[in-house]
Parts: sequence; structure tokens; C-alpha cells
Amino acid sequence: MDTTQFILDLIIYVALVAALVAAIWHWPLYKHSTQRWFLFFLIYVAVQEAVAIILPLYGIYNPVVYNIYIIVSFSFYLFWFSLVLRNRKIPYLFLLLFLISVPFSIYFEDIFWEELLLSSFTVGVILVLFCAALYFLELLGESRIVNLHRSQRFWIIAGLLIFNIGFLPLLFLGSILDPYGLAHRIVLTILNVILYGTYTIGFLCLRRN
Amino acid sequence: MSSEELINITFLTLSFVAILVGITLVILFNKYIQRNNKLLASKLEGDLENKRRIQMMELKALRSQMNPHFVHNSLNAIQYFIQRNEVELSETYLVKFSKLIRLFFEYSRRQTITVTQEVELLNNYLQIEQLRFEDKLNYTIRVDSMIESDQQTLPSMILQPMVENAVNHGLFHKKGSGKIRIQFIYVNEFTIKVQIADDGIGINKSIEMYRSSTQKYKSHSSAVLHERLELLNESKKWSISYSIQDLSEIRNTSGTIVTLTINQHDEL
Repeated sequence: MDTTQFILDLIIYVALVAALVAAIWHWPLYKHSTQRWFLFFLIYVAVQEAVAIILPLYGIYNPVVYNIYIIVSFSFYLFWFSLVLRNRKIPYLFLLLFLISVPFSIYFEDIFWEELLLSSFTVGVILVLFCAALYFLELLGESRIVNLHRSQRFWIIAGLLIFNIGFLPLLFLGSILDPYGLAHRIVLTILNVILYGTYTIGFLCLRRN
Repeated sequence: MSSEELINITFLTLSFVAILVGITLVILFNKYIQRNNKLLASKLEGDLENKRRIQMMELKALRSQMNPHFVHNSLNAIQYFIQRNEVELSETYLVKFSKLIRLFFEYSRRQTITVTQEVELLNNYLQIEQLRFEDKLNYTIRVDSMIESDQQTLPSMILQPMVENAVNHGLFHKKGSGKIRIQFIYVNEFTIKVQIADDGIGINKSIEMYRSSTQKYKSHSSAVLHERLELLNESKKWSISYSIQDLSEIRNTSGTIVTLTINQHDEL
């Protein structure tokens, strides 16, 4: 593992830990809201990222960790959207679609143990983008004053939207890109920093409330 | 440049553009919601201001109805009966007076009252005024049989100030007895026409008298009434047209006729 990659991974990890600390610190403020699941999710992600950083130090490159992450994270996001959106059926349907795509992806691509599950990942990104768009559409239909700056949901979903839009080029060029190349790692780092940054803002804005 | 470098540069460019697009979308959405919030806030402020104005009008209307001259004169007249030892009569008028005050308070809080309630209030008011005028004041109140008096509603505190104007500016300066005729005329399911006619000196003469006097011509109850009619028309729940004519201009007789067409919008 080269130094650049280690630094980039460390940046992601610091951003993630910042989000996790904010989530733990402000737990009493959102423990009864639908966002409470994010604390458990972030703990899982922290453990998963730690494993993903440590394994290459021993010369083990194991995409299984990331494939499990893809399955867990998209399932979680779609489940969470089913709690957040007014139209609950659509996220449930999306979750079902995503879960169906996983065995198909594993069976047809046959790469679960060697490479990332690109098909499932593509499906997940598109479905989460749809859900984020639905959330914004629902907000547009609101006839009350909405303070977005102090809305934890808004910050989380804004982060998810930017993160997943940023992943679209990867979906188009994923097959010809080196998954461990610098360009790939830089984009991934920026996207993760934005995602965990918005999560952190989302938890911190609760304090201002 | 190798093809791998080209792919990397293309990927980086596309990724940055995508991130920028995402951030721009969020910022634009945020701006739109903020603009929407401002519009909503100004609408809410407008609604609040309207409510505040309505409450102020209710208060003003109540104050104009409870004008000190009227209260003073009424109590003076009752006192006069007491001094003459006419206990029964003084009791009757005291009851009427207290009932009228109660009705003023009760109806000033309401947006609408039924025709029956309006007639009751006017009857009470005019009976007290009769006491002051020592029976030189006669009046009739007629309600069209087509009007469902217990169902049909009118905006509260509209007619009494008009009748008060007829008494104070029309009949007060007339020599001899005077008469007030109040008619509720059915126009259609949602519209009622109310006419208040008096055979007093007429609006033109009354205005002249006030202008030539040292007093500045100013009727508080008329100002409150106009403001209230304006507010009711603005509310879009009512369309109220108001006209006032000196009878000498249309007939060979003195007096004033006030015509009020009250249309209640059917979405109510």
C-alpha cells in the first residue's frame, strides 16, 4: 500500500470518525427520530472501513468487504427512505428491486470474491438518487415554512444526492478504470468526505435547533 | 498521453462535473425553498395583519356603539323616570339598556349574526333612543317574508351605526317627530338589500350644518363603518355595496335613505 493511498484512506476515516463522534455526541437529540438508525449504520461503516484499511497492510486485497458494504449500505438507505418519504411504497419497492439485483449480480457476474459488484452498485446508486429526488419533490409540495439549514434529513439526503451523482461517471467508466488507481481513489475520497461532512453537519445542526 | 492517462483525466473531469452538478442542485433547491419560505412568511404576516385589523375594527365598532353620549343620554333618561317615580318604566328601560349593552359586547365578538339577532339589536337600540326622544321618534322594521331570518346571516356591527347616524344626524335636528324605516329585502339566496330611511333633515343639510358650525365635521361611527365595509369586501367572503342619498334629490320630501346590498359569497 503506497503512502498516497494510505493518506486518502485516512482522510475518509477521519471524516467518518467526525460524523460518528457527532452522531454519538448528539444521540439524545435524535434518538427518537428516524435518523437514529444512522448511528448504528455509521458504527458498522467505521468497523468495515477499519477492516478495509487494515487488510491491505497485510497484503490482502479483499473486495468482499466492499461488496458486503454495497449490499448493507444501499439496503439501509432504501429502508431509511421508506421511513422518511411520505410515499412509503416506492422505497420498499426499490429495496426489493435492489435485493433481487444482488443474487443476479453475484450469479451472472461471478465476481463476488474478486471484484466489486458493479451491477448491484449501479442499481443501488440509481435507486437512492430516485429516492433523494422524491424527497426533494415532496419538500417542494410543502405549504409550510421549512428550515432546511436546521433539518438533519435535508443534510443527510443532500449528501446522499451529491455522493451518488458523483458516482455516475464511475458507473460509466467503471469497467475500464483501475479500481485501485489514484484517480479512482481521489474521487472516492472527495465523495466520502462530502457524504460524511453532510452527515456531521446534519448531527451538529441539531444542537442549534 | 497514454490511453490510461486519458481515461483517468476524463474520469476525473466527469466526476468533478458531476459533483459540481450535485452541489449546484442542492444549492438551487435550497435557494428555491428559501424564496418559498419568504413568500409563505409574507402571506402569513398578511393574514396576521388582516386578523389584527379585524380585531381592531371589532374593538373600534364596539367603542363607536358604546359612545359616551349615547350611554350618558340613555342613563339620564332612565334617571329622569326614576326621579318622576315611574319605577316600572324605569325598570323596563334599565332592562332594555342592560340587554343592549350585553348584545353590543356579544355581537362585536362575532363575525356574523342572523337577521333575527340584528332585528333584536336594532329594536333594543331604537327603544332606548325613543326614550331619549320622548316618543318623538317612531320606527318600523320590516323583514321580507322570503328571508329566512334565523338562517340568513349578516356581518355584525354594520347596521346599528347606520341607524345611529339616521337618529343623530337626520332626526336630531328635525323639529317635530321623526320616523325611521328599516327594510330587509330579499334579492336572492345569497343577497339581501337593507334600506334605512329617515324623514329627518337630509344628509346634505346635515353636512352643511356641521360645516358651518365651529365643530369640525367628523363622524367617528361613519369612519369606523367605512373601514369595516372595506375590510369585509377585502375578505372576499362578502361583497357589500353602500349608497347614501338625500331624499330631496329624488322625491319631494326631506330625509336620507341608506341602501346596503349585502352579498355573501356562496363558498361560505
